[in-house]
Amino acid sequence: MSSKEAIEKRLLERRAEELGVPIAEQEYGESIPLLEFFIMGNRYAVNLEKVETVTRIGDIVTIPTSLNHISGIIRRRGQSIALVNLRRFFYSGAEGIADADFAVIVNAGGKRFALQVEEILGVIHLPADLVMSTPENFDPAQATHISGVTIDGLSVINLETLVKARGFGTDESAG
Amino acid sequence: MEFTEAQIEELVGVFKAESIEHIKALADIFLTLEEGRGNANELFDRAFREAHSLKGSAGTLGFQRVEALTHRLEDVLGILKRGEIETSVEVIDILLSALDTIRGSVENIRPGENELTEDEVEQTRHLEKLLQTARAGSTGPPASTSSSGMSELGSEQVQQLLAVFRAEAKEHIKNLAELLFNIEEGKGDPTELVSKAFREAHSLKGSAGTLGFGRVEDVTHHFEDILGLMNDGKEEITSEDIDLLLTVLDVVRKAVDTSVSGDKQLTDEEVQIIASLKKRTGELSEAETEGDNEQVLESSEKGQQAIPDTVESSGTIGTPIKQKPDQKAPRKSADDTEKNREDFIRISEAKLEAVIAQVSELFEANLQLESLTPELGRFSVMAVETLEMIEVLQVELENTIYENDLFTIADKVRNLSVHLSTTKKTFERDERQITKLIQGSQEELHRVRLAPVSTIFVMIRRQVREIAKATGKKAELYLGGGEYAVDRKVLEAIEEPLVHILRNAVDHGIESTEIRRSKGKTRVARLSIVARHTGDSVEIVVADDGKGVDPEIIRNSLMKKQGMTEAEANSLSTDQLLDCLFMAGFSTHIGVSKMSGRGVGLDVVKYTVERLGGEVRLESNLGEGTAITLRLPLAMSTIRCLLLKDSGRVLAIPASNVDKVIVPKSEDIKLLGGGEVITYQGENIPLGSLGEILGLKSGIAGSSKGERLVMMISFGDRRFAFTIDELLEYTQLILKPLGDLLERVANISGTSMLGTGEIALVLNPADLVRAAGGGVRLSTAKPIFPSEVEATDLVGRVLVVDDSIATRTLEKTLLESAGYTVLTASDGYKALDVLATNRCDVVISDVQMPNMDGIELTHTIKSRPQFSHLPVILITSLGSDEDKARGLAAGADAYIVKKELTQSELVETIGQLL
Repeated sequence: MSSKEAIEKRLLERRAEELGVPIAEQEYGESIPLLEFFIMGNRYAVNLEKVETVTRIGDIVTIPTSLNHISGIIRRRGQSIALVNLRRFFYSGAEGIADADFAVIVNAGGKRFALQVEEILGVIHLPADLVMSTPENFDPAQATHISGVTIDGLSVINLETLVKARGFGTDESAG
Repeated sequence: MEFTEAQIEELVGVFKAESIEHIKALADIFLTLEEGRGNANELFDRAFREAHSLKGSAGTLGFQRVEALTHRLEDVLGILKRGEIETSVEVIDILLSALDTIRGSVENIRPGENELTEDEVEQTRHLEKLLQTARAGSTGPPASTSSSGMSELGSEQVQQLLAVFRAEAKEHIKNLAELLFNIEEGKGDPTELVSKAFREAHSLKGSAGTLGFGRVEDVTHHFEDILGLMNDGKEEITSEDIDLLLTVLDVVRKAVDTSVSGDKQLTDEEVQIIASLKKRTGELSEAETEGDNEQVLESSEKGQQAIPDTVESSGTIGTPIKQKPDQKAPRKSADDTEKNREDFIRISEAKLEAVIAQVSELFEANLQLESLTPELGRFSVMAVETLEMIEVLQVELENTIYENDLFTIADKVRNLSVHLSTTKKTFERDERQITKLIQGSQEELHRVRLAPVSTIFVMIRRQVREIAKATGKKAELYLGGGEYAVDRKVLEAIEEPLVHILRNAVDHGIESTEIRRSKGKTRVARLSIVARHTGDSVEIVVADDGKGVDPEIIRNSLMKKQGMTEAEANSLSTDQLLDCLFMAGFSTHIGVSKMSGRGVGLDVVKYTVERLGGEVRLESNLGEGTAITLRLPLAMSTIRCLLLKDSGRVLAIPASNVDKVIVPKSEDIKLLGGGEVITYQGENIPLGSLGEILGLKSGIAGSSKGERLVMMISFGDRRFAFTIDELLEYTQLILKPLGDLLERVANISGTSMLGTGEIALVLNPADLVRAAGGGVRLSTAKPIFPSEVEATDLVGRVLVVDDSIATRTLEKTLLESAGYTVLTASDGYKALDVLATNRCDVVISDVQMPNMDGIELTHTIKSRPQFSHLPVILITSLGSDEDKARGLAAGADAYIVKKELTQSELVETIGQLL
């Protein structure tokens, strides 16, 4: 390795280290730990405290007659967990073209379920004062379930309102 | 000794389980006393012992609320036993009501929460009243009250509001003290803490003002001023400030305890503390403060005179009662206690569930082991085949250089074959043994979970008593089959559905005494609840000899309320019509009955029973009565199923619902009335394709030619046939629910892992029958929620948003008395949640609230298209023009200042906006 390459490598390592340090610790006070991921190519995040684990999806058992945004169930330690396809829930039936191979297993509103996401971007510590309310022209299908957005386009999902939303879990027409 | 959190949790669990048993036993005794059965003295002794044990364990664990209330109950039992007051129906009412409260306290108990709730205060008051009656034959005068809004309420409502206010005020005081300590200790962001404290103080002041607690309002107002300065960043909070503010909180706490609504005269202590607060805010100089102190003496004298006599008694009611040492209560002998220790141990339900889950996992793992047996058999056959091939080679290569080597190889393969065969046999034997042991463990564990049906009979007797009393109807209750054992979880789950069925039976089923007499029926109606075992299920039949259900009324209702055409309605059979009673939101009644028109409906009964893997059916004969049968599984986790394959999926269906699987002759299948039927045993049974019903395949069932496999299933007294692709086997499966989120999916009740590791979907026969039957579920019927049904005939639905429970209660009471249905939320976020799931006609909101204030809420409501039409009224203690302008700028339709709040103004404003 040339000396130039070595310097570049050190610089990159230092930069990576700096980026790895939560912003909040550097210059802000209260911060929210979030797990960030992609859905339909857009950045979303959920409160890390609600996340039980992240797993690559193995087998999905599809459930005929279940709601459209329920991809099926996955099994974890002998228990069934519903896999929610937020693409379909947030984007009115849109499928998208990207793979969604990751399951973010969460506990919210007394329910355990998994969000099917395209890519896990990692854990961030977002300073609370950088979270703003959703703009007025925000997609109404999502707005109720978004607790805030950031200037650079990250939407923080409010799992509590999501899980309580009518028609999110139980198919009311199922009787 | 210090307990860990897990130990405390376990102790609380044991305490809860034990207490519920005591409470159930007490309820049983009270009802027996009321019915005049048994020896009263013995019953009182038993009740006394139960109450004493409950009180004792509550005291030992430091659950003062339960201890205090049970102590009063015990005192009342003492005077009843001594005959100092009569054991009348009213007294039993009070005792049962106190038991309900104790049960609520036990179920929600948390260590360290010792402040009595308003309900507990109320019940203590009722019990105290009985004690007072016994001592002096009279009760104390009620506390005097007066305030603008409250003057329009009845004295009972006022008392309830005051109790709520006191409890809420103490909660605010506790929160404020905690926030002040956090500020002092530097725990958290001081700006945020001061802001929270400001909101707490503001809420306290607001509810005190609303309910006319002038002294509390006055002191809190000055307290809030100091926090306001700090909140604005004009002043920094010092440790002297914290001392002062904590002292103020002590004064406010006393004011809450000792003042009544309408009491404005400050005590000298209150005047002094206000002066200190004013001094701190810089409004007064040192000299002025001294001057104020001189005035204090005068105020103090006046103040003391102004305090009404009733203060003492009302303060006592709100104060937790201290336990007195009890000498009289009989105690269990040491031998008894020892015996109990030997015979029983208590474990938490969570631990039992964990063991059951592990045994279930073991069962599943064993299923996979079982699937290795054929594999071993295959290896054994392969070894034999290999040996045969070697033997052929041996013949061919005899007398060559390979002869010896082949002999050695053949010998080894022979040994391998023998070993494999022996291992297979041993494996099969051991596997059978393990299966037997696992099944034995499962059966034992299930037995642990069983409880006799009679455990819910106490509650049923109780409910029938209450319902009959409320409706003025007379009913004789017969209970049978209480000895049958059922899974505790099943029993717990069906308590509420049974109550609803009973309410329906008394409220709508049983006729009035006059009508019964005119129809030649007995004056007293008969209600029966009988349990009986049927195979691997238990049936609970609730029957009445009332007027029965008229199918024609259901038919008319379907046309009028559900938009069904006459032709559609006429095509429904009586069974299908009766089935409609189980549809969400379906009612044949125009109004909402106090007894059975609210809460769970028959749809919820059906949902609960089917979720448990059971089924419900209703039979009725017009003029003779109605019987509702709940068929429930004895155990909940394992289920014998038929495995089948359709559209490439492995599916399972409970074996108890499968009558037969046949390959019918082609002439037995025909088209009838637009659908296929199969003629079987002289009966035409509707036929459908399982794959199509599940949405796994499309096409017309009748279009497929050739041999078809047909599975007949029954549900209640109805039969249906389904074509399936392949029949696999009958097997025992562990039913796993679909997960927390999917409580209800049509046609599927859960999943199960098979021995191969494959997941089978377990079908719900009740849904399948309905789906195949068609016409029963109405596609035109929009799902209706109970809350929406309730509102149908009322004036309108109002959402009241206020962080003060007292203000919420006051506004709710005022509006309900004007005929409105009222929903409530404690801040803006919660209000949006309520709006997302409920229909509302108008929103009434406070301005100052945590999380999301009224201005932001108004703005949000007005900015969302789905809510923008909703009128919003802001009701607040902020009364300046500037505040009003802020509220109206956010989109509020009206702005009312709390102090000016009257029922008439509020109702009038709502009326104008609706």
